[in-house]
Amino acid sequence: MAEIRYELMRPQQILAARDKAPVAYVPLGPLEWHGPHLPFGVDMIHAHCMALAAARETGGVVVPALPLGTETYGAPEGLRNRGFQGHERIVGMDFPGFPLPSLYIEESALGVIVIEVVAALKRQAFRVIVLVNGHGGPNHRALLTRIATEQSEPGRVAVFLTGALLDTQPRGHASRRETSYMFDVNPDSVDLAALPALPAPVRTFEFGILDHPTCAAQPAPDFSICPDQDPRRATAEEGRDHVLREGKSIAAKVRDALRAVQTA
Amino acid sequence: MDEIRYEFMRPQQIIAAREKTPVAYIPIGPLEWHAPHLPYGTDMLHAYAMAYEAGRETGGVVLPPLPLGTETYTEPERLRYQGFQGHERVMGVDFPGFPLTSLYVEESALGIIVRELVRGLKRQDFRVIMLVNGHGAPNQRSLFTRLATEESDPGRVIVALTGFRFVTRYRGHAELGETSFMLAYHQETVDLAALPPESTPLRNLEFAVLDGPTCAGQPLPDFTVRAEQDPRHATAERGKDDVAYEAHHIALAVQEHLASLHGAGA
Repeated sequence: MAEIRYELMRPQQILAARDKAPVAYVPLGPLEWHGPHLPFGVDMIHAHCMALAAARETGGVVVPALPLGTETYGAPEGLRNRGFQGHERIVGMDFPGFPLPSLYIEESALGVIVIEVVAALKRQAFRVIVLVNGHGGPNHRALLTRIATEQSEPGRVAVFLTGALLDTQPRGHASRRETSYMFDVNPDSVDLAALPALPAPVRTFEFGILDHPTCAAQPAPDFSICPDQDPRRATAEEGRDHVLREGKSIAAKVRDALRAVQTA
Repeated sequence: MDEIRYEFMRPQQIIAAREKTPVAYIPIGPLEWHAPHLPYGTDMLHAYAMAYEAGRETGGVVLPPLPLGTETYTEPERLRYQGFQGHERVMGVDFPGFPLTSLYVEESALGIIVRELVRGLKRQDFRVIMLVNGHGAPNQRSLFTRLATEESDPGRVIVALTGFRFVTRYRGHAELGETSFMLAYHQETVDLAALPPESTPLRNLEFAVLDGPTCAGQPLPDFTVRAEQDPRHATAERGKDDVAYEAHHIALAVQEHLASLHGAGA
């Protein structure tokens, strides 16, 4: 199979890939707390896997993942859904008492660098530039959405945001789905023994693990993770299957975008 | 062996590594033209190899590589060394006529991002933060030098710049040194057949293969690459040996930085 990882491609390979499918994927995600059982790089690794899966279908190139992402203080309602009072000042997943903060960066710093990378890919005559996001932070997604809109040039270049919370369902954080990705990509990086043994409940505020109902403002009364999204039930097979489906979903959008810019 | 790649480490592994050796490496290099025979990621991959091998020697953590780097218009004197007239507007190694530009980013954008990461690592209580650079641009090196100085907290945190042009044996671009590195670490990406046969001299302007003396202001009269730095003479063995040398020197610097912090009672 032809190489699609940009950093490993020679100029003529990049040109050939671009001439066939002028699509560039930019995966990104912060180095962030994902419970005690998962590594800090889950979001960027997941974004990279989704981008590779999509590019295998569409062609084009995949830029190396940017290990970058942003967060801000959680809104009171979201905090209450996670088992807090609502008045705490909590940035992203850095819950009180956690022993290590995440490597979030300032929102505007992230914006500036993403714009620079997108602008450079436009200079290389890529026509569809796909921001493949691995992170759910609301301000992170809003920023990337705005950049995609601003950097698109109707009829000439399409820039769009995809990935986490767009092609991944259900929502969650460090739950069964993200755990299954890491089981597939790098099983040594997962340690389920860092969580209590089943059937003890895993509580959101205790570990920084969120399930879909919690993200959708319907947490369990004791703020524990629902059984079907419990990370302790994750397998490598389901992780592989999720990423393949996510890749297909992204590829379908890319084909639409490509058709739109090419017919214009 | 313990995991040192930050993105694959769980919180307790990062904390354990930091408590043993509070060192974090940030490898950085742009996606840039490296002649027709090498891939665009050469600088970033080289920075990562240096950081990873040094991290294996010292302990600590190695961040995922930042695929970012900057350039600006080359000044007239350097342009003349490379074989230009001196009045051209040439950004880095994006020489006129090349079919693809590099993915350089604006200098201040790079500065903001690196500073943000350094500050994040300081919040995580890393005490020695090494910017491992894979790119030779003067403005990139001066940016990182300034950042390292400004973000160091004397007696408490040392931020230092190392890597290309600091511990590397070669100071050129896409020549013997970088080609040997790629042969050693990513052999499948190198295509020496994309260059002319060995009997043909490599002209700087044609491929942007630059030897060390050219970069230092001493080009050959015909602006070709010196035989001893010709990429067509590269070997994987040389590349492995170079990275081992570079990583060892970085590790020695790290150990000195740690000792100085320890001596300062930090």
